[in-house]
Amino acid sequence: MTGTTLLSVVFLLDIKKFHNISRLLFIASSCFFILVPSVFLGQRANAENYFLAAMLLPIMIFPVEEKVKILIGVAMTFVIWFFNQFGFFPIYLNQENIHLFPFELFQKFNFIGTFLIISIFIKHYRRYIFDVQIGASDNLVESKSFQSSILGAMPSLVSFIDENFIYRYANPQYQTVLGLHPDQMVGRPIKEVLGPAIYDIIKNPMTVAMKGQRVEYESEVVTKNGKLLAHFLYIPAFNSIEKIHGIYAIVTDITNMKKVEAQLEEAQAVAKIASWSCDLNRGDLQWSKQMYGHFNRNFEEGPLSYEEHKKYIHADDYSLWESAVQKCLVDGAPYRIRFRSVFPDKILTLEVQGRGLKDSSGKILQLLGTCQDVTELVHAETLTMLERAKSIHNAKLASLGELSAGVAHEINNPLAIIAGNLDLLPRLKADPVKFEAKILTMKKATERISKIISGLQKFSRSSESRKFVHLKISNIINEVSILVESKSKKFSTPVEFVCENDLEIFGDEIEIEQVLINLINNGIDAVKKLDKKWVQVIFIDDGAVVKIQVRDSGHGIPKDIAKNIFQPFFTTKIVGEGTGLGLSIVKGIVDDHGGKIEILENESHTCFELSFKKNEGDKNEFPNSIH
Amino acid sequence: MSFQIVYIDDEPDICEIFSDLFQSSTLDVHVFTDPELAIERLKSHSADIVFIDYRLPQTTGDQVARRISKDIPKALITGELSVQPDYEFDRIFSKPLDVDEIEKFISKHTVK
Repeated sequence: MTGTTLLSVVFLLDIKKFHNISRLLFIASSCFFILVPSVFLGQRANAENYFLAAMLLPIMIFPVEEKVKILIGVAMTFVIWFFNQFGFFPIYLNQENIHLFPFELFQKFNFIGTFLIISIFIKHYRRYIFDVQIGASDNLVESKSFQSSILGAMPSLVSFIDENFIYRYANPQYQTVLGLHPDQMVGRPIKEVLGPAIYDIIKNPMTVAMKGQRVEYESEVVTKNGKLLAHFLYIPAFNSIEKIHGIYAIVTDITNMKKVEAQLEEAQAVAKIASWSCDLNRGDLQWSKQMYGHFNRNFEEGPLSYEEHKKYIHADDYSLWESAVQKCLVDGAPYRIRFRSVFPDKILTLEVQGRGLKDSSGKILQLLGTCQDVTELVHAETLTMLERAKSIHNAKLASLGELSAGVAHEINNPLAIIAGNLDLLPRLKADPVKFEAKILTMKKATERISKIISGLQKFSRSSESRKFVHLKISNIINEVSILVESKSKKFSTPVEFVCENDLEIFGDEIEIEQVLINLINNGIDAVKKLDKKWVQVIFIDDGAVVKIQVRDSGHGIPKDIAKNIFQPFFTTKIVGEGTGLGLSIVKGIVDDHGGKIEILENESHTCFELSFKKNEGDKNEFPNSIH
Repeated sequence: MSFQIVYIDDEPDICEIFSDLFQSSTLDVHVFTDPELAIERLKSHSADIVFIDYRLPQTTGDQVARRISKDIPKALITGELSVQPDYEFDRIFSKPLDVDEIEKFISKHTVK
């Protein structure tokens, strides 16, 4: 009876609180107290106690679930008591009974005592037997439902390693990742299970963790499946008397995540595009690595705050930035703006796209977006524009050079007429009629010179002084006809202008004239070798636009040439005959005017058709969706 | 016997001036605006000097010069800024015409 009592008391106690060694000592002393009185004091030793001890001791030592232990303990107690009642167990030691109070008393009320103890068991440990919920965190990992549902599904490796570096628990992922079944791991030292290579990686951090410190680190690991990058987390586990009894290890494969992170970073670096977000409650900015470069800042310094970063925005661009952001704060609508950020040694142009994230009530919680360094892009755009202006100017000068040869001749002829007639006049004093006639001839000649000069003056003006005005077609025709007269005569190619009504177009006079001269000259060049040579310029009224058709007696342009014809430096002329820039500049001018140029197909003769607006106004007014 | 001068220029006004300036008892001036006609005439009639304008319809003064007999002295008249004719002219005159210079040239080539 004493034995039974003692053993039951042992169960009552929360011996888990005791270290293994003290536990063993306690059990040993309990056994002593069972045996000693019997042996040395002559008390009959009940065999059932031995049986109970024999059954229960191993259960207490081996790691079996608490619930199970108790159930076995209770069951055993009952079984042994039952059999004892029927005198099943022989009397072990043939000793005189010593009726020592209170032992005798205990003996009589053996079974009552047992029942009392059992009921106390049940009272204390009811939750282990009947409840599913586990309270103590120490038992968390051991609970079957936790194991199967959560730990089994977790993509990470989860294990519990005791202070002797022996696996006490491993989740099923070990099978997938390392090819190790948890059963093969539990009870074995980690060095043996993982192998020396991996052990070398983890032993130092694990040792630190075993001293009670939470450790987190990343390391490359070589496994059967190849090289991985893993994230390790060790959480020390303390028992009820604040002593380490092991660590929880959570190991996650972050190889892919790192790869994606690295790719993203590289993509951002290559495109010079960064991502940012701003939490509106806290007012702080989150920056991707690339962003630091855009604000001339080191990665280690961390991001600027929302207020701080405003200081770097160029004063002239500030209001643009501010209004875009303000609007986004209200409706979350996406915006895209360019502004300059100013630093002591440089100025960057940034293109920022942003939008707002709303909560369920429609309030904007966060702004996020991208920021791209477009400084070089803007620089290139500016250069391109300047180059274009320059090449237009140069082409004008080149055409001017071409023209001047013909024009010099044009001026010299009337000049010769004037000079020649002046020489004649003295001889004609006697003939007043002829005298008058010569004077008239000279007058006409001077007018001719004036026209040519004024045409040249207008032509050589630079494009910076371009002005869009309403132009009368009749004026354009007059100017252009003078300037193409020379070439037209030289190549015996008449140039005819056809215009029904007095039309007007909206554009820059010089540039429009340049376009027409270029196309007419091209036409004259194109028909040089033909029998029938002519160029026609027809002006057509088409609602909001004026269509201008420049036709020549040629038979059209082959499709493969037609598609490239407006490209810069594309020319079918031999070297020295033309720069190839003409039509690309023409196209540039037409585009600047919001107009259109195309080669008409299915025409009997070559025909370039231009369209120009009659009036100023929105590009939307332009019919047939020119753009 | 008067000297024969042929003048070729596409501008009729200038032809008229040349004719008015130089036609005289000793000089017979024949003007042509069409070089082909001039060449035709020179096949059957001789001339003492031929003046040819550089800028002619569909051709140039030097091209025309090649088609005329080498024996006849030729002068090129031009209003161009710079011209490099493909022919050895005896003289090149630029417009506007310098009457004195032309007279001197005519004298030189009509002295027999």
